[in-house]
Amino acid sequence: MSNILTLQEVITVARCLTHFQSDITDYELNHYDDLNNVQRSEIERALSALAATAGNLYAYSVQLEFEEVQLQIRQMQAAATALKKFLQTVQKIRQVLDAVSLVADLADAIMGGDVESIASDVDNIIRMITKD
Amino acid sequence: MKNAIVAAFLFLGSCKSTDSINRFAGSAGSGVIELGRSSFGFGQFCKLYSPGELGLMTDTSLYARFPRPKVSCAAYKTSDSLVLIINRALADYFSLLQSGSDKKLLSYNARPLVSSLADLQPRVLPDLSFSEEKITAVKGLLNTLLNEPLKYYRAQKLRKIMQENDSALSRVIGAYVFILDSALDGEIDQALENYKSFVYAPLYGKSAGSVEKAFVNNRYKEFLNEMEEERLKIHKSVRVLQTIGKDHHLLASAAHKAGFTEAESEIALDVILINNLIGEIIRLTR
Repeated sequence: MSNILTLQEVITVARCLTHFQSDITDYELNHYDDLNNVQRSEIERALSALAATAGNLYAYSVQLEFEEVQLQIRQMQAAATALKKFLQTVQKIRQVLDAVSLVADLADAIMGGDVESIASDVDNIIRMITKD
Repeated sequence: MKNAIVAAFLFLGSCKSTDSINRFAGSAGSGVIELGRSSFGFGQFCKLYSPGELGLMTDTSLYARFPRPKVSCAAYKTSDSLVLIINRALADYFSLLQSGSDKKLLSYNARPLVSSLADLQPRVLPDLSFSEEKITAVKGLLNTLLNEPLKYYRAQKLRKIMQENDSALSRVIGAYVFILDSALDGEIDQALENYKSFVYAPLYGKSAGSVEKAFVNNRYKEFLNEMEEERLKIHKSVRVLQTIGKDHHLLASAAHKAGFTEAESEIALDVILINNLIGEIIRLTR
């Protein structure tokens, strides 16, 4: 038999401790007048120990689960990186298409001899090239 | 002609599925971000509901002060950090999936290019007479040639990424659900017991009169209600995560199914459901 607790067993143990604490508190409430100060202090010490252990077990179970799922988390992070690269590629394709439009505009302006448009189109192309 | 019709359907289908991915990724991303923002963290349970902290609530002039052990919050803080890593991994994935499937990303307008070419034509090739009708037809054709292959390439690429990561996402979401539904829910149970053990019981035991006891009972009920709201928030968060996991799987596998329309209509309904749940979680948090 393995002496390592599974994740579900850790949660089950923690829940048992919580229920145990609940039962002891109920006992304390039902017999409050019958208990002396020393007994109350003893009960409180036991309740504190139970509470701290159960709380830590719930928190610790997260670490266990995280260890189990680390590989998949890394895969998700790699997928996000792949998506980022893909997004950059699509944006670059888009920029190339925009550049083609601008070059056609410039050619049109040159053929028409429109100096003002030539200057403006050249500016636009330079702006696009230097955008990155 | 036949090939053109097939290609047109293919392109139309690719745009439609990209729209679904975009809607889904948008609501899934904002859902995950909201879960990260509204979750009552492990650190808060340690800080507020440890025996020592709660014992201080009975430290009045009426009740004697008992020395209580301080709980170390290290494990709780580590848990919060790990939950944050999971939350960010999911949020980043959905955010980039949304950006990659954004309609505006490929809203390239080929009209200026075609107009420039049309203006150039009489000067460069005066013999080639282009009527307005022909120019309009060329504009449409060029627009399709430039935009549609890119849209198709994008839809295929996004679907491939989703297919490759579907099982990993399902596992990560499963871990997130476990953390909320088992570990954090357990901390709520523990916080309730801690309040009962270290605040309610000492105060109730020492409250002599019925008025004082009623006051203690009321405070206890208020605390119960507060914790029930936290639990409700957790249940809604779990539902959001489960819906996200199901829809991602639908989108990743829908390309091979004949009933893509059914999958899409289910996703459309789920997007509304997720948005409503987010609204409810925000209301509970406030």
